Amino acid sequence: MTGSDPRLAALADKQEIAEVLYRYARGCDRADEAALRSCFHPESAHNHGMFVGRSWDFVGRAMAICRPLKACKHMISNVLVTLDGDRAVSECHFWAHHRRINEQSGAEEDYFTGGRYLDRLERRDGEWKIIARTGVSDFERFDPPSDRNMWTMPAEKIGGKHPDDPVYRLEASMGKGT
Amino acid sequence: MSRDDQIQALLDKQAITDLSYRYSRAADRLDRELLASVYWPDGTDDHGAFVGSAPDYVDWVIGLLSGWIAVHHDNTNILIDIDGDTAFGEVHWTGYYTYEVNGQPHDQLAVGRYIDRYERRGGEWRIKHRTCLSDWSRIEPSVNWRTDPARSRLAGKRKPDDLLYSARRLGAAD
Repeated sequence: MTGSDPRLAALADKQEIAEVLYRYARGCDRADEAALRSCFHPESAHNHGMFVGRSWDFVGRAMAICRPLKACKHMISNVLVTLDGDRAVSECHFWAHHRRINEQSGAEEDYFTGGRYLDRLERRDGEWKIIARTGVSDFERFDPPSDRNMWTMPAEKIGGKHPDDPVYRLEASMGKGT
Repeated sequence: MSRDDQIQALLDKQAITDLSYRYSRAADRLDRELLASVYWPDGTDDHGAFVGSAPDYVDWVIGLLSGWIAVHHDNTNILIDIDGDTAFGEVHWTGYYTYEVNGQPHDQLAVGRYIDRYERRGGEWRIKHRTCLSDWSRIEPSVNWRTDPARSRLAGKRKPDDLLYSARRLGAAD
């Protein structure tokens, strides 16, 4: 076909990088440690919120935060990538919701936050992964829960954690996933 | 549609999608040059409160957003229809705005769509006309987290202070 067309190669690179960013969001939401870890090269540097250190250490922290949450959702959009051979820089937007317990009151609250991930990525052995991530915050809110009947729905219709969420059965049906 | 036509459509859609992402980056970071660069110089914009030429729109919206504390736009559901060197697009936007109302910071969540017409000239796609529609909105007092120095360490800023501009240097240390 047009396998040597550099425009097509760039399109494929951007798609692969976008899927790393989506896999990170899935890793947080499903508390899927292997998925999270797979987004980063081993020496990747992380600078997000109160955390400054190695990305693989941040994965442990993210798991500790996300796994106990009753609900957790990260949406990724506006993926803008600049490519330079086997290196790339990327800015993407994130929007996140955590249904969590307020440490002071002990009551449930909704935490909404949005910002951007500023990433440097490298392709090694044909695979793009992040080597440095900075998380920037653009907004943040805390509100009392206001849902009415979501939690009365059947459990399998509510987002769950790895490996219980239906997405893992769906992937297994294709012979993929964990 | 031949395989080559399909691939060309994919490349065109990527280029047109990036216009909306650059538009949002420009608005959020107050980057006047970047915002102007997504429109053709003879382009036009209808934002309701503003109707006119693209260069005048850039001045108007940069002036408006300069007075706000924080601005963040997400773009999703990008549907593009290509017809030769013209294209039409619908782009969903979600805006998170923090600004003062009666001296108190408030958060506005606003959602709508851009209805766009694009033109390709000399191989480059840009916006010829953008209409901005609003679908719904809420506004509530802000939690004002930016006043906490520990929490605001990595707060988004405008150009050139935002970390975007240092992170973009390939190989640069954070």
